[in-house]
Amino acid sequence: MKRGLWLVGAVVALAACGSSSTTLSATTVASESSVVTTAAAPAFPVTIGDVTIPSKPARVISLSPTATEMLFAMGAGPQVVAVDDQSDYPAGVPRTDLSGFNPNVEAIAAKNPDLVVVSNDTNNVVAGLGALKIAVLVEPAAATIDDSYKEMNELGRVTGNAAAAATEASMMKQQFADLAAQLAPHKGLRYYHELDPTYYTATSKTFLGAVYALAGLANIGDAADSGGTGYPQLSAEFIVNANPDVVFLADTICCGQNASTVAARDGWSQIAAVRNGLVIGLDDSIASRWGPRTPQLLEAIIAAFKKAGI
Amino acid sequence: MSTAMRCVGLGVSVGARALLSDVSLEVEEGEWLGVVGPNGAGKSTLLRAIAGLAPATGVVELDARPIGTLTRRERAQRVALVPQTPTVPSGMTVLDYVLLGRTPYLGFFAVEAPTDLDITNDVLGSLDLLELASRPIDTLSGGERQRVLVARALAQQSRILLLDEPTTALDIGHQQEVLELIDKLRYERGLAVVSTMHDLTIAAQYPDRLALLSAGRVVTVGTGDEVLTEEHLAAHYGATVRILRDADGIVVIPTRTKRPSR
Amino acid sequence: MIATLTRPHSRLPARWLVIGVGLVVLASLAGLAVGPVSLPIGRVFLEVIDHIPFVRVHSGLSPRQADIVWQLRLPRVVMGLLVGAMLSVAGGAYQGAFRNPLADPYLLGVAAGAGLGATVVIVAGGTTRSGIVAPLPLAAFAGALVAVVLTYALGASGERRRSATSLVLAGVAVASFLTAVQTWVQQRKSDTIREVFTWILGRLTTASWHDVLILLPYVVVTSAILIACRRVLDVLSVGDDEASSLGVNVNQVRLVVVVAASLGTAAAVSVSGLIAFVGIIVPHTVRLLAGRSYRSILPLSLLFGAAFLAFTDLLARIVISPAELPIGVVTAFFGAPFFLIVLRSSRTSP
Repeated sequence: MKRGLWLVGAVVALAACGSSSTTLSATTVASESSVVTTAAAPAFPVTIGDVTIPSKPARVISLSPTATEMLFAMGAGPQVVAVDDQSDYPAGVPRTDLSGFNPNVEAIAAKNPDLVVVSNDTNNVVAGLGALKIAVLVEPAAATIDDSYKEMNELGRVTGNAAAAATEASMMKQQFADLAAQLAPHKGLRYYHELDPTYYTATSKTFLGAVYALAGLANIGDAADSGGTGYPQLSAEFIVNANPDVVFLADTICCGQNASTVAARDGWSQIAAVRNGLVIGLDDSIASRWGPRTPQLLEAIIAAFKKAGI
Repeated sequence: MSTAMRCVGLGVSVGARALLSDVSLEVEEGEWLGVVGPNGAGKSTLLRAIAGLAPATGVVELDARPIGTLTRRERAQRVALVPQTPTVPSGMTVLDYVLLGRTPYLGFFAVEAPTDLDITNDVLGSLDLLELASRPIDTLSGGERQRVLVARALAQQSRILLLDEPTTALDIGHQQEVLELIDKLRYERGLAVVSTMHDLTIAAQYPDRLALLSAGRVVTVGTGDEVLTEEHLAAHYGATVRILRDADGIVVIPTRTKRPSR
Repeated sequence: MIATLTRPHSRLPARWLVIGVGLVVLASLAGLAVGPVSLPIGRVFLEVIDHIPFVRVHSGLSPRQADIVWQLRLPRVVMGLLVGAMLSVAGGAYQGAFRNPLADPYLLGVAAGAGLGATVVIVAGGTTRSGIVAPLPLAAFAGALVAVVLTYALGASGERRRSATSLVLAGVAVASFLTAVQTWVQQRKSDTIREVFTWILGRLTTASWHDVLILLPYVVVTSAILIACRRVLDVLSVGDDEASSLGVNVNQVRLVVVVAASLGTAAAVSVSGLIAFVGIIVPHTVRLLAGRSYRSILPLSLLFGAAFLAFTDLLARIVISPAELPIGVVTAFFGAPFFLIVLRSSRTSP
């Protein structure tokens, strides 16, 4: 009985919103092969994996900076009451001192959420929130680009913004395609993506690697990943020997690396990337997430190439 | 008088080295056997072997039971050893320490019964230690401490008492006190006592018989007169001595035959 | 004088027992009362009473608040009590069995073995599963036991068979080796390093009733065995030789202590990680306060250890709330000044 009321209420609310995005998405979505929703079909309850959300959540807590970006991009902002301490985009999100790395179940429960989104299940947070009958959705780090779209769509379904989410996803896809086309002349350039100053790198088997692959760039770390972990540790010798054309730094903010510190490293001044001024610092927060801003990485690369005159 | 302790062909070796070879001795109830010999003769090893603490070949019988057929607890109920340098846990009271002597009668998970406490009281009483019962042992004088060590051994209520150098580090007065005490107790309780001593004069005074041990073997067993002769001492101690005999007993006097020239 | 001595001998002063129980109760109440959600303490207390069978009391808390008390806080408090008690009793028993004041429950390689087991599982990505056969606690438990068996095998193979010293040395060798392997394994995957460290520093955050129920029988049985060994451990204080001459099978005693303490400790670390210092701080403190006999040290370590860990867990939760300090950090923080105090106050050697 109660559930039925909620359902009716949700549908009425949706219809009452009558937002242009909903009607727009109804037409654009029709041509997409991803999730199809019409304003008439009941959006709730939604089941994803083991989690069932009975009705449109109004108090969402996001403990994943990527999920935060996705939620706000799809217009679920008003439903989000708290985000974790690392979520810094977009500006004005309700940032709290809740931690996504070290979640404290009680602190989360104190904010009375009806849905919590996390990127991994540390500290038994899923079981803990489950014991308090709070729905938890685990959206782990994307391993492929499709994972990112999948996450966007799941978040969309679970918050009652399926159409908007699908739109965002397809926009991302379009941006990737456009930017990749712009980078086509540089296809085949070899790059080294640095995660930290101890030469940990991400191979093309990772999410980031897949983004670079869209642009047709080749990863020097692939040859070194005998263990298949996706995140091998290289050595200075290996990198110097591989002589990458471009170096991407994902450790500019955490570890203070930039073009001049890299050029100062022993033996590195001869690397093609250093000689041609193609040591590119990336925004740490974009490079460590897999959200809707990821295409901006490709934009940064295009801008850097232009600046270096290639 | 029955034989309290008997060993036949007792041998102890460490690796290839023999510490004791072919030792055969007998001690009756109420008898005191003193073991003398030079350093390294194997006196302490002998006591440890009799107590079952050193792996040995040959036969050791305690109260006519071969030591190999006894469980650890049965063995500890038959023979008590007061070691030369005992470990005295700091802060332990006299009562607690003497109570440890009741260990052979208690199961693994058991605690002391009132009878154990009674027996301990008894022993403390006969050794004049009741007033010191609550004192930590490290605060006692040498003589008092020695009495406490003996008390623990007596609390074991064993028929055989082994004493390894019981008078080391005691002054002459306390030496006598402890030895007189042991003498009295062995008569009262019918204990068989085996002790090692390095002071030969005293060694002749208290034990009924002496055994001379040298290089792991028994050279001779007999009364003080028979064992402590100038020949024996020269041969096995490499010492030049003169033996004086008088009514009280024997005195062994070391002599100097040659003095170094200046 | 004679009248005093004929009274049945009890070495556990009753007042310390009372103090111990009081501290446990206090620590439990404090642990229940404090958390990111502020709940009126009276109602918390009523909520707990409500759960006693046959007692019906209305606590006035909302269902979610009641769940917070019963599903989150209480299992965590109980876990802290159990782990603290176990580590302390195990530490005290080891100190007695090995006559070594620095012995702790991790002595024979237990910590290194458990750490290796846990690291392997974490790096292989097996931590997302929980349930009856959760791989992480199982691997930690197995690792700990394998380490002890290895130590015993090595320590008993020398000429000085299974003496206290040879076992300790073997334990050091095994621990060093396993730690090296564990470090190598943990470096294989950089993104799990944080999780490995969190486990190694110890945490009670993941405590659930499930974990408590798994741990409970281990703690109860092994602590009972260890406390039952208290008299024999007192006998061991005169040294292996003399204890032997008093009829004690020293190797057997040591084996019983090692098996019981290792099982209990392995079970505790498998759910809580490696919480250091508890097994040393608590028995030594009890020794200073209540005397050197293991008849006091073991039972009181159980109580004081339980209270100590519950209190430190409370601190770990409060200090940088809502984030938590790894509990191993808090106990270590207490450890350093503690040892200084012991050093200064002991005029005789421990």
